[in-house]
Amino acid sequence: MLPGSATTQSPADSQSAAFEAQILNSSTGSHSLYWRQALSQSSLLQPNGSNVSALMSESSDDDTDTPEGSRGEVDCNGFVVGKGVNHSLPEWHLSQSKQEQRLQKWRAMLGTGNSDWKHYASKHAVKVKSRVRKGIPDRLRGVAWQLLSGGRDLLLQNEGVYERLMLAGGSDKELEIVRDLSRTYPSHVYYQQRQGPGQRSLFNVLRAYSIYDRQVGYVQGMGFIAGLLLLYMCEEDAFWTLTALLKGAVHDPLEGLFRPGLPLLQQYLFQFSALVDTEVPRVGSHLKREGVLATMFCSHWFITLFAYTLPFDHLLRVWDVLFLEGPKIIFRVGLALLKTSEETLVALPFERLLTALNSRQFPAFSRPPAQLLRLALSFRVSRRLSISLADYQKQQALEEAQQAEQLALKQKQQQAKEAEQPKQTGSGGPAQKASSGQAGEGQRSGEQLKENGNTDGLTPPSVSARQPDDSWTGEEQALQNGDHARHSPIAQQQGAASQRAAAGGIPSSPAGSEATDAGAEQAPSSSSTLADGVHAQPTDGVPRGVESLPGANGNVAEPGAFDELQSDSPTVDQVNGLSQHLQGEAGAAAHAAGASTGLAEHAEPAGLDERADSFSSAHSEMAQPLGGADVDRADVDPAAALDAVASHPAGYYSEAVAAQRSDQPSLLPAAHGNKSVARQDSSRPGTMRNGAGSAAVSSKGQAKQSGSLLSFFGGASRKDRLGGSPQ
Amino acid sequence: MASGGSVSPLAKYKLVFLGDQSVGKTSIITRFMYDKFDNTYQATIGIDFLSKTMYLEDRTVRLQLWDTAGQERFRSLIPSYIRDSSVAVVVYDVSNRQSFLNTARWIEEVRTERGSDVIVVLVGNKTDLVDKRQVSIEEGDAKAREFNVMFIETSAKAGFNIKALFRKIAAALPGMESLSAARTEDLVDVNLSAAASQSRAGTASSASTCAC
Repeated sequence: MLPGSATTQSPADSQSAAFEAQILNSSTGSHSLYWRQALSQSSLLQPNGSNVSALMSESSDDDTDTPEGSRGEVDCNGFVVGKGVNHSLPEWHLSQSKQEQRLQKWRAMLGTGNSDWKHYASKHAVKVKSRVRKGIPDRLRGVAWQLLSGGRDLLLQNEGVYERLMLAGGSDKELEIVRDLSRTYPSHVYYQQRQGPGQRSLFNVLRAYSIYDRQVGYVQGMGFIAGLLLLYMCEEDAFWTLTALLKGAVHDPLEGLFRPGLPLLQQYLFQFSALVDTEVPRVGSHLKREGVLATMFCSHWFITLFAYTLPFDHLLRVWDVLFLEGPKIIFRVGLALLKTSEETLVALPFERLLTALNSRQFPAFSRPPAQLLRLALSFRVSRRLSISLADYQKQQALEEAQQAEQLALKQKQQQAKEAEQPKQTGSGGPAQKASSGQAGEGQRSGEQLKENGNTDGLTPPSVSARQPDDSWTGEEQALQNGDHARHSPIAQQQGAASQRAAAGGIPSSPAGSEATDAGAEQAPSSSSTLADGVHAQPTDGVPRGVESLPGANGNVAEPGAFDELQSDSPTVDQVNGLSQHLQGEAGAAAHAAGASTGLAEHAEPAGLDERADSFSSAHSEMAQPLGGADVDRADVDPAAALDAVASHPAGYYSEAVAAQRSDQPSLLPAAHGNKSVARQDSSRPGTMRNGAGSAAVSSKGQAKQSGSLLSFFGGASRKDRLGGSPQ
Repeated sequence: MASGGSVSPLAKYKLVFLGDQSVGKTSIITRFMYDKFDNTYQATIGIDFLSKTMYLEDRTVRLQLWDTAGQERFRSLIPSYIRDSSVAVVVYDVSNRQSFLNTARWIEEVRTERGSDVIVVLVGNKTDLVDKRQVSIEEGDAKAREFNVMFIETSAKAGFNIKALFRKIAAALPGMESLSAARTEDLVDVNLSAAASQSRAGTASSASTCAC
């Protein structure tokens, strides 16, 4: 498929044909690599209503525009290396004949695309796993990643959606995205050229995602993930593969890494610390002794899924496994990095230890990727991960309970104050001051609590206890509606609390699936030791990713799946119940809490539904009653828009936000915590249609509009399902 | 690498760099550390750490620099770093007014965490972008006075005022000569209060003022 073609509407059959061609033509030389093709093209569409060029030049430091190659030579992966630097192929690159041989095997395995592949994968899961661990041939990587991730299914089931996202106006994240374009793989030729095809594609994909999921929006780090995908596939494919990763089409969703408060990151850091303690204990205890926390050196491992850190060859191999086996490979590779540096690390004092950990100089980097992978896969992490997840959830629940108690107390005091000064709600002034002061106290108590309850020096106490600090961040505010939310510490803390619970419980890492995995690994036949990555695997251990492929996201969207998810989250219910209780007690504050990002009241349903949402939008099977929710919300939306205005720069931003307010009311609900399935669903098509220039609707008209779009959406999807069905 | 450890009992100070996305925090640090500027920085994700020894006329200090991600979403990661720091460097981009406006929130955040027990420096970076300037030096200065913090304008790209910035910080650091362990919360505040007692450094502070 040619670059840019994704943005022109193509019927499903021509899509398939193009995809097939990608597989068949995969042996035509190095130019089959996507970014090489793309660089030689330059006709990429710009999203409607956003003047990328203006944005880019606005935020540019003029001379960052480096013509290709002017700084040195380009290595085999497209990275500019200094002049005179040896950039010959590393010894671990396969010989031409070996490459060709693997390519043949893979081409046979992939067949003509989705259905062939699924058939094969379900029958030969063991072989697939072993081949993936050996490395996917570079020329088929893009195709294979799409198939493995479930991104391909999403694409087929959402035909035209990306295009509509492109046409949609008004992402308030554009400027933030643009600021990072030249700082994402800055030394790769594809991304070097300002406004070149690479940067434009990256912008388009990130912008589309920020509209697609407004709660996540754009977060630094996503660019490295999207950027890597875009080296191997066109925009639309990259968008859906990114979506598949973040929404969890096949594996646990990763969007919690980016949601406000970074709940999944905090959970992962906690889990990683626990793993280090058991798997690389010498390093673990040394880190503790020196006071080095996981946040200090490995947030970016998780946030970018190593795309920020690993050398390219290593990264590709890790991602091959990531797509098939899920995010636990990130933990395993992290452990392997520490393990290979163990001797060095345990001898270093604080400063040098941190410098070493933050450097790109792990010994493993100069050794063959296969070696790193082999070591990584030798760590058996699933069981430990589910144990530490349980620990984490317990700890969170405890903290939240205690925090909530304190807050309830404060709330009463606040109430008393407010009773004295009934007219001060919302408009800042004294109320704001009071609450910000309280937020501070709340934080401190949370922190104390952490310190008391946490003897483990490696856990990331500060991180989770600190969430309420977002109290003053505009970004989070923009997601909140209602004046109270911004100023009420209760709202923030409860919101954060329930969000965290959501992260621990459902969307981030369903305990259920972890357990399944663990079971597989524990089994006597457990072969994930995989000394050379080739051993036969027990069928029940393998197919997690593969098995779900036939239905890929279909599986996820099944009602059953959600039931399962729900039942897996006692903590969440508990916390939810607690916050509701508190709200009852808090009286007037209940409203405020409900309006906060986390939606103390609705947070959990939100967490669940959010997942449901994303998929229902993919499948449109849940095109259901647009209950009162929409209408309710429609009244509140403008407030959120105002918040957004308040938190963004003048100039360009206010323009964007103004557009949102005037003709895109339906964009906003997506930011609201996703109370109902129908609501978020409806917001997306609404987005697109508005952007495409159809009549602007008033807030009140939203439900109606959404309804019609839903049916439209559903129709398209049904067609797709027929077309894209494996059988 | 062998374990060296610092042999001399250097006074160590933690500096945390705050400010919006893409204002030049990493560039300032890189200019200070290696005296170079590179257009091909990757965006900082999470937290980065660097350290450097600074030789002053009368003493030598070890600076531990925490470079933070500027995007709002990452702010939840940062407060613990603020809490541990004796200096907060709040950076804005003189060609980006919003980043200037947001410094108020950063400064407040620092005050919330540390009260007056911290040195705060407001830094207007990217002065080389003359044509694109949106924030005048007077505005920067006024804001610094309003918040009672130090102020300087820099250009990491041109290498302008970067050394001055760090000299200024060093001058404000609690002196080696007064090793009293007392904290100085009860100092009568002058222009700025400079005080830091740190577990690691084990030094405490005396007041120092700086004419900004």
